[in-house]
Amino acid sequence: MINYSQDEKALIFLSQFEFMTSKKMQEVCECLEEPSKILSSSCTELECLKPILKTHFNTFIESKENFNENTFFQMLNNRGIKCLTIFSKNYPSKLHKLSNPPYILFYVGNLDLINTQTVAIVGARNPSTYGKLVTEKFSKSLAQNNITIISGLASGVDKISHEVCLEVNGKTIAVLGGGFDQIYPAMNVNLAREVAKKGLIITEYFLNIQPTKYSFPHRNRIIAAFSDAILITEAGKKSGSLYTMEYGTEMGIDTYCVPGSIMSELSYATNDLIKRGAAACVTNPEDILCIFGIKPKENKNQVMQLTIEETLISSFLKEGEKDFEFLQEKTQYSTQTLNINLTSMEIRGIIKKLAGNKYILC
Amino acid sequence: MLAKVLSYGLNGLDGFPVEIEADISAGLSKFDIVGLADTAIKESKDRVRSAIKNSGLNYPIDAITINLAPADKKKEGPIYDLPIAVAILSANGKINYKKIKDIVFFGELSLDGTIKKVNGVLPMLISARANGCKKFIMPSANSLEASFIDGIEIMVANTLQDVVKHFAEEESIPLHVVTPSNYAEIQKEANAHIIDMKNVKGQAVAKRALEIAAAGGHNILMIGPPGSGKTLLARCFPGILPDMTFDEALEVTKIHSIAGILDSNKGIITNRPFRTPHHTATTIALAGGGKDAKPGEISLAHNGVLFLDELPEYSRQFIEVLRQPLEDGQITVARNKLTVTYPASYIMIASMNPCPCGNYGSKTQVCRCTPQQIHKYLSKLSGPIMDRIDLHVEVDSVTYDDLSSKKEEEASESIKQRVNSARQIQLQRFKNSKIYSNAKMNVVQTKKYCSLDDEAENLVKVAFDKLKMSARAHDRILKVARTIADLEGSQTIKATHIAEAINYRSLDRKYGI
Repeated sequence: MINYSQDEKALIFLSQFEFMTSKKMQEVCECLEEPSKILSSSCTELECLKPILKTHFNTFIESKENFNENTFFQMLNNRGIKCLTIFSKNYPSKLHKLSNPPYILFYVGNLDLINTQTVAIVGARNPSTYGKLVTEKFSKSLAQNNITIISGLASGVDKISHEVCLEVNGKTIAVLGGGFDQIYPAMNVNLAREVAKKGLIITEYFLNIQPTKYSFPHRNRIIAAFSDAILITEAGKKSGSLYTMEYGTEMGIDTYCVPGSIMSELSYATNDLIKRGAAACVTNPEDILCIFGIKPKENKNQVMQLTIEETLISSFLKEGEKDFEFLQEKTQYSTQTLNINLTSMEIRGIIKKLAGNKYILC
Repeated sequence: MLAKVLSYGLNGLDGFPVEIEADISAGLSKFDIVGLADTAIKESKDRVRSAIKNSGLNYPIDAITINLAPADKKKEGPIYDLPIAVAILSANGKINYKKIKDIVFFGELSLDGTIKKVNGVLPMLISARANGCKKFIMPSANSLEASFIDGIEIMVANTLQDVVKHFAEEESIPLHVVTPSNYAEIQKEANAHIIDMKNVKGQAVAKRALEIAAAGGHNILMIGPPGSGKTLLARCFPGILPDMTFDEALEVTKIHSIAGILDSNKGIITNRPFRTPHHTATTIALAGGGKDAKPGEISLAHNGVLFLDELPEYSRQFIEVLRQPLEDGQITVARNKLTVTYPASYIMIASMNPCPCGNYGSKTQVCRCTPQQIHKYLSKLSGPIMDRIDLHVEVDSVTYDDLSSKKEEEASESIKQRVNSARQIQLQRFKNSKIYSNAKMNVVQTKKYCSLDDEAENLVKVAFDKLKMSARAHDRILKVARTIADLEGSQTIKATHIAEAINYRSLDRKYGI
């Protein structure tokens, strides 16, 4: 069991309350001078907190009286959840760059990942096929070159970047907008487990605190603070990725954007940032690797033997995604032949099958 | 006076002989029917009385007792009106007892003495023939249905009077005798009514998948946006299935006859049935039941196609009902007094939209669903039912160009030929076992008949790895590959067969990306 100092214990206790934002926590700490007093002092001594906690004061006092320190920390320990507070020795120095650093962090996994070379990959929750492919391409390549991928475990770009990274045995960090028991969206619970096992999953919210509309942009500051570079693969007009970028800019962290079609609403923000010069334009993963001074690894498996049929098929796919009927009309192959070739190319990772019998080159 | 008349009753698909005994004795006028008769039979006393009276005959004013033997079996329906009337007339001395001794009677009576159509004639005739009955008198309306049973003499009558005149001592007027029909001819004619595949433009992948499904008896799921032609494709499907043999047709007709939905203009069902139960249908409507344990939709689809449009809309309960019949090819309906087993061996075709709005992956429309919504929609398909669907195929929406294209599409007839030859190979393969198609292979048989060469084995391994297929896909792929090989006439399953089979497992991959 980890030994927390009295100050740490006090903060962990405080974090249970939903109303205890980092700002309130700061006020409480300043008011009491030593946070450890929260647990050690009597209720009357804590009367001074009344103006800060206001209506929540009674709830707070009640919980304090019923607080069983041993069972509480035993529970955290049993679940493998570790805590960091702003008073901890191993509190990540990267977070001190923030104007409002989190007072407390809960985490599962390998904390050392924070001090590796990291790139945050963020973007739309409902990306287009293009956005998905771009995210896959960048996340895969960066992860293969030993860069830690940070994202927010939301759906869309976040999910894909974590997944692809884990697929190639890369390192990944997920920063949540709620407690560990409130993974959102719920379909990512398994992904969260994977990340915790192979990477690091971290949040400033206590176990059962639900994510809110505001907590997501709020956690983006942690994503920004942890990362050495921010990559936006696809983002529409009001994307949350813009918050990540703003926090990044405050801390002097550069943002990179992948350009998209000017006709696509989902690429509005990325194109706009490039246009205004707020973010640098990247068109392949090597652009980012260059910044870290990494020379991309030669991929030995690249040389693919294509049959005559496959060469013909891939020549038609060079123009972008095409559906089965188009390919059949162009190649004049029988349904069976075309099917066989497409599957065989898909298995070898040359092409990808999309919903609606469409195919695209990887 | 006492008289006995033969008739038949039904327990599920099997007929049993019913002896109708009429006793007329002096006493107060009354009319009793005993012998576990249902309401329809009890009511027949009024019909019989009026029919006899309105046929210009004397109705005895004495005490009449009718017994339906065996007395311990439930009997139902108005089919005993005619035999009861004949029994009374015979007991009354109007009809000579000796003349009706070996004849089996069925028929409902109208108040004016007309004999009306009854349900379930075919299964009763088949059982009666097996029991050695040779002569029958039944309603004219059932004559077509009866004409497919050979080796017996079937006479049909329009009115009760005709029957009485037939048995008159002097000036006997013979009844019309049913002439046997030719099954092959009728079938040929009926086939013309199925929509031909050549009317479906484009959809090459879906057509190929349906061909494989038909050849191997595989269940298939079509995924596509609304209006992409999923239903039309399904409707064409019976046209590429092998023609029903006479025995199969009889079996189907029997079930439809019992359910009372047999078209009297047709007599026998020659086309494979195509049933489309709505998703609001109750489980009883699907499995069969009710107080007389009537066959449900899945039995009506026997030897044919059960089409479930919008699969995720069907309740879990509904889907659970389908499970056992998909394994056993039959369903047992247990009710208070009777337990009936109906055959229910069918190919299931299901269709669904790719997402709640229906446009995910569409060429022409934009999908507005969030990934969670799509995930939730797809997760409505329970594992157990997905385990029984071998082929998933995506059907894309059709563009105007496709519709107006002059390109000649392949006709059902030529697809059917390939299907037939693949079925022949399977019949040969399974001649010593109880199954007859690749889809029904169990684990042991799959292992025995679906051996792969090294290249194919390797392909399966890589595919599972790369495409993140679920374990349940493995055997399905092997079975489908077996059918593809059969279609090609290949003994071994080659890598190309596996490659094609993998393409029909869309939902096992991470859907989309």
